[in-house]
Amino acid sequence: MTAENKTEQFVQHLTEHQTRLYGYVYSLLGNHSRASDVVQETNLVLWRKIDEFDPGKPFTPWAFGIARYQVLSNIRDHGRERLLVDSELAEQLSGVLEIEMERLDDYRVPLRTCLGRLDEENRALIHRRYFREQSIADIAESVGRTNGAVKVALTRVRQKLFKCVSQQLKMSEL
Amino acid sequence: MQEIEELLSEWDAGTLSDEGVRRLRELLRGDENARIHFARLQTFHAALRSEAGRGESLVVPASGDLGSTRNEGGDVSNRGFGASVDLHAAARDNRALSGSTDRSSRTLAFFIGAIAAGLMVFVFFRRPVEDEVAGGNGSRHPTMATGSAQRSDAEPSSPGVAMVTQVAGVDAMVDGRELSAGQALVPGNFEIDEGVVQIEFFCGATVVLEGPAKLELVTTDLARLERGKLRAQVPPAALGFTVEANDTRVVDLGTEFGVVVSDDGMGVEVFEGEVEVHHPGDVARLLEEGEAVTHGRDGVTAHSDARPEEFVDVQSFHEKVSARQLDRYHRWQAWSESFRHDPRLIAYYDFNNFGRWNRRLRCRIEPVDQELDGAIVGAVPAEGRWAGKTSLEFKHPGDRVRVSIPGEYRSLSFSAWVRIDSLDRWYNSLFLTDDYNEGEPHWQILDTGQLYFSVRAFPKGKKKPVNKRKVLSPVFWDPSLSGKWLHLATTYDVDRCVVRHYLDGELLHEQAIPKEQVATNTRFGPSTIGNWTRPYRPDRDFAIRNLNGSIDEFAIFSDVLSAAEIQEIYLHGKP
Repeated sequence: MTAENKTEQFVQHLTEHQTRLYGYVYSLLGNHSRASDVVQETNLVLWRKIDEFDPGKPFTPWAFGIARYQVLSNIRDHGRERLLVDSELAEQLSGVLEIEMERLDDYRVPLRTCLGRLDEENRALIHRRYFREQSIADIAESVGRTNGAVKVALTRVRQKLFKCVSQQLKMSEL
Repeated sequence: MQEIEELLSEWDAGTLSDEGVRRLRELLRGDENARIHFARLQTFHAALRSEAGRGESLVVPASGDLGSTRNEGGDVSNRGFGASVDLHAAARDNRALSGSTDRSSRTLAFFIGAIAAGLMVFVFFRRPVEDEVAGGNGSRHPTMATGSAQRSDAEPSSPGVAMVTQVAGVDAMVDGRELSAGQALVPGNFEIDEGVVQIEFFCGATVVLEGPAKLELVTTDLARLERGKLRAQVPPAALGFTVEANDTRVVDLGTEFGVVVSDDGMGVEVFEGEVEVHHPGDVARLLEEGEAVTHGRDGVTAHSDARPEEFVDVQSFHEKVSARQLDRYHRWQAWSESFRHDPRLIAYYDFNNFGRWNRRLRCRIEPVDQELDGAIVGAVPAEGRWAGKTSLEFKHPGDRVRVSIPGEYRSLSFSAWVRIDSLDRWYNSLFLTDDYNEGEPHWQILDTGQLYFSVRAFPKGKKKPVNKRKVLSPVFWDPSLSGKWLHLATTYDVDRCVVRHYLDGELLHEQAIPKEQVATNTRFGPSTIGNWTRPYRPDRDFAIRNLNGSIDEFAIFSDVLSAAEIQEIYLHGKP
């Protein structure tokens, strides 16, 4: 394989993994701005290690391994800031998260089906929150409802969606 | 499970109390099923974030009829990669995407741009330039050129436009760091008094700049030469790369050309292909291979033949750099020859000239003592500080060098040239004795990037006082140093009861140890470089301490080296 081919494959893998990496990092940090930073750092480290990239080997464990390291050092460096989990718990969670995030693509088709089953209003709500990334306050203002009402509505529709997706994926009961 | 969902919901809304955070952690900590549920929910959210906008137009109107606009072109990824060769199409896509606020399409917009530019680097450059953004105004979130970064959680992007790939004879500081290969450059002035630098613009153009020179980096495909000489090599992907000199613009049409700016004026010479020269008050002129034109400050325009030999090209520059490396390498060899006679050396491994299957690491002290030779396990030779010099690369959990060093000593010094790729373990070994018995030193690096040295001062089993003999340096390593050769040294002074850590010849940390916690008699016995070897005991933890990186020189002394001596080792061994 030529170096160019390898680079191309690497970029393709990396592109395909952006959502997963972001999901993984955000799950542990719970903060979009920091998650973006850490994903960028992870990209940078991966890029620097392109020599270690082997197209014959699974990309995900490699990328997650590096992301985990970046997350843990980020938590350590910003110990005083408000975080969802501490470093010890992040370590505990990283394994299961890696496994689940790796199958992120499995969630897509059922999720699309389930999104299709929502009524117009709920779909618009999800769209505003997750696609346009509007804050709850912004959504409340534009639809003329209180923050609390929007929060409750979002929680409900999300629960409904998650339930629908778990059924489709035939997830085991916990 | 319901509770986890609710707590996460509150967190997502930004309304989770401290009590709620504690509760969530408590739930997750104690229950594997809770953690699995958490992972599922978070994966579901990640899928939701990327799926919620599917089927929407890429350019989401500022206020739109939500959920009803469905049209073609939702599949960005295919389009993005398809556009990889068409610069203009990619540029259009880039603009089209800039109005969107979807994170994944933003990411893709970067990739499309990067691929069109023939290089996939710039989106990744975040860390090395974060402190040098726009004249150091402290902004951690430079806004992206395409707009749409109003919110604080907008994806950060890099202002980097080029990177340095080869350096020779340059003594310049860029953004507070000694200029070296691999450094990313942000827009602004770049100045060298002497030497030669190769700069690769993210558009794909390569420029060899000869000092003294001053170049203003403007964008990924535009630079302004204030003075000095450059040679540009522009592959088809970087077509359109432009150099401005005085009031003249040189636009590349797929080529190799030289530009020079002096007190007399500016000149352009074309070595291959053709360029477009825009001079004010004149129509754009096409300059072809072998042609040269000068625009004097006095307004006189003159034509002549190109002189490619006057401009350093990439190939000969590379040869020059290699020759310089070879020179440094030879100088180090000469120094090493005398160094090995230092009577204070307990062991010295230069890691030079060994083949893949030579599993014996020769101890190079004079007089020769073969008993001190090391046994290489797993680790393989890799390129060292210079081309032609070997080092030993430690990659796998089993990789190590076993040594056995007899004798009893007092004060000690350690010195090593190390390339750290990453710090994967809690403890990443440089040198560890097998058992950590009384008088035995452990020299290692924590995953936090701190150098760590300790000597056990008490016999095993004895009740220990509060441990004050562990000496931890400040953080000296972060991933931006990955792959860089570093010199590390630590001295253990039993008479003055002090430990000093050095990085690249400079004192990094100094710490006194209570007299009663200093082991005045030190010893090694069976030990390991780059890992830890312990007799098997099932109840032992932290067993894996392999280094992820390479070692290129390693020495232990039976004395305290002075700061000047450590500086000398550094200067002679500097790559």
